[in-house]
Amino acid sequence: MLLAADISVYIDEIIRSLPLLTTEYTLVLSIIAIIVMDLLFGKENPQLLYMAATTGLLVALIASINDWNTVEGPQNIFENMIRVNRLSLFLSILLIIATLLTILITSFEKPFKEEKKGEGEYFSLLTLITLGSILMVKANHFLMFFLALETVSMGSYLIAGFKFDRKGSEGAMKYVLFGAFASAIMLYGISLLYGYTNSFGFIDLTEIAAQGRQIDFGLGFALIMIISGLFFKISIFPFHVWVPDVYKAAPTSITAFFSIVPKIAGLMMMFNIVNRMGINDLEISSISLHLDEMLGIAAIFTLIVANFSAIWQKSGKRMMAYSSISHAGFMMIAILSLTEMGLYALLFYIFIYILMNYGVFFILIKLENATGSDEISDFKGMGKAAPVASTALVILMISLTGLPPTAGFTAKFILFTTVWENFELSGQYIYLFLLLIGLGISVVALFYYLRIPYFMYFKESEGKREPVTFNLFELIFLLFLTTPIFLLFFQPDWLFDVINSINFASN
Amino acid sequence: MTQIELYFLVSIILFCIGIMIVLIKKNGIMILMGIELMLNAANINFVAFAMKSPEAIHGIMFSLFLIVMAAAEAAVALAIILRVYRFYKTTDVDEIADLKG
Amino acid sequence: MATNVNLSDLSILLLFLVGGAIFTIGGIVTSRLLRNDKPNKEKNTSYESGEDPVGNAWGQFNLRFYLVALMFLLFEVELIFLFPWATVFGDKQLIAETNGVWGWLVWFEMMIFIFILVLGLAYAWRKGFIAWEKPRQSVYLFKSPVPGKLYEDFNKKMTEKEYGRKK
Repeated sequence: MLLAADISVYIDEIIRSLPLLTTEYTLVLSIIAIIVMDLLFGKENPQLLYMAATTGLLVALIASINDWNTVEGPQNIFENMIRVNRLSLFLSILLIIATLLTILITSFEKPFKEEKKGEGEYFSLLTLITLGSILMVKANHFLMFFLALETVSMGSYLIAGFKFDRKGSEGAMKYVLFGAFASAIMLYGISLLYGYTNSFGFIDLTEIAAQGRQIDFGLGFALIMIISGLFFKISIFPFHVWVPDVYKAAPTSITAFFSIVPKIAGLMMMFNIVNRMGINDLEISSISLHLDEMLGIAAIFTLIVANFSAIWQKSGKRMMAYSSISHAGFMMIAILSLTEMGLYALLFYIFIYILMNYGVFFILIKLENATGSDEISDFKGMGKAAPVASTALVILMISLTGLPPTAGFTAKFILFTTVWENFELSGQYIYLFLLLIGLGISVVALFYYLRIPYFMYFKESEGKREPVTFNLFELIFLLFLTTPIFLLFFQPDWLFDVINSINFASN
Repeated sequence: MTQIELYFLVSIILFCIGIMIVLIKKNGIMILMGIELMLNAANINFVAFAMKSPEAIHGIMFSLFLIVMAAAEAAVALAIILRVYRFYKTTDVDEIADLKG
Repeated sequence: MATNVNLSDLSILLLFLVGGAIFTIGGIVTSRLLRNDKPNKEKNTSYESGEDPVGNAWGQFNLRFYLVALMFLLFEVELIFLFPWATVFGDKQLIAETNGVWGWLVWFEMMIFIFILVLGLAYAWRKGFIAWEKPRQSVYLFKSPVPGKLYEDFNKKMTEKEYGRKK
């Protein structure tokens, strides 16, 4: 209960905490501004909403870069509800950039250009999901985490159906039913954890575990429930079934958004929970299940299932959905190796993944505008009609597979080096398996990633193709996404210098 | 059995009923009701465990937020299901299966 | 008001029961005595806000009801936050201890919350989700050779046939 004597302490805490969340305030204000503008003059000038969303995100970007420059050590604010550190600030910068890219590629998507429908809702929901993701990355308390996660989820359910057609509504319904079920399970896990630990903080469970890091079945079950909910959000193996349907049904720019922003937030949440609660050290004694082995096995199955399913896909968007599941598997591997190197590998991977994914989806949007479908077989003969798009797509696909000379290779190389080091250090065979499966699966990935270029270059189209042209702005955008993929292969230190300034130990 | 154990028993039963409804029922709105039962089971847990916790207010606050969250989620889900109903004229999740591949 | 009557918990319950019964029965009896009594088929059905109460319980309600229900649900549940807030806000000691800072802080917090809620209401209003969508009536252009008077007479006759005997 609140005691009168403590009240000044509470007020001081609140006043101390307020200035550290400028990014969030900016986003909230821009959501409100978008809604008010939409109500007042949304019908006449929808362009204004576009500007408002972009401006809001840019200001938020400046705010978080400012925080990145000023905040040194980790700061626990609002009674340990939120922890601001350099890791979370770096990620919020990435998340805001990703949302800005989403808004950019939205403007290229044909249906959005032509039929003006629900733009106020679209931009406010995008900003809302970004806000939720940033809070998720910064959360240090299960209440904060849960509210942020639900903000992200509910925004995603709504925005998934933004094509306003039959399939769009179906995808949204599948998403909302699966998603609500997953959050209910996770919530029950949180309630059990509260019963065991009497606290909602991310407390170190290794301290309350018995000798040999053993925990009893109930606590282990609670943790598994929480992890399952997170698995759903980042689409790890047994909970990935919703991904292809939802990604296929959503507008293409939203598909790109889904494969980046909520996913990165979920992954970092996973990292924070596993790291701060020491989950990977625990063992459920009654069934002698090591939790890190469970996570590893889930990652292995994710890689296998996603890559082998992707081979049979006919639709480009569904293929990219499986590709995003597979990349989530790779990033899970990085989370498992909880070393400094593992974190750096993860951040490097995330950065490259954002560039590659937005590049691929941008080209998919261009091709979709030209052909009116996202079926791979409809892209026949595009190699001649759209030379720029095809070349860029080949580069991006090679990078997604993880072959030199692209940064995708560097990211995977660092990742696998980390896994190997972990195996040598701990001698646990799960790391060796992860390494072997990860390497083997990259070969499978080559088959499906290069299928689209194969259709574009080596199959003739039936009719004559209208040439797909890029205007100057689009070309600059494409260059902006593809050049770093080469540059960071030759000069990975540029990115590493930034990442290295994040102090792992103080997180 | 202590009081907390009794509450816990109720919540487990409620949670299992909710899971069974989600798994068995075909109607989208029924599934939603099952999910609400699961959320309320967690809610009972929060309030019950708060009785023995030194930070009792945290459990109760969590349950307050959860009530609002559940309402918002129900509203979102119902709105989406209504939209589906307009296109498919059914809420049977087995019949709503255009997305395949 | 000083009273010597000591009520045990159960007798309070009894008081409530008796009071409730008096109010209900009293209302029914008084209205029975005062009203005039002309039942017809429509009036005898139980009142369900304009829906037909007879039929399959699984029948579909009009979609408009769901929209209004959704709006109501959202705004009603948010009120839950006002109750814990009100107890803290109303605590004179806490406010006095901090020279009123606490009061202002809490007041502003709740104003922000209510502002966002009102924004939601304004959104729903402006987008026309609150307006009760009236079904569009199409004008029937067919001209019947039978004069309207005949229909009226027929309807009157049929009503008398159905309800007339009961009198």
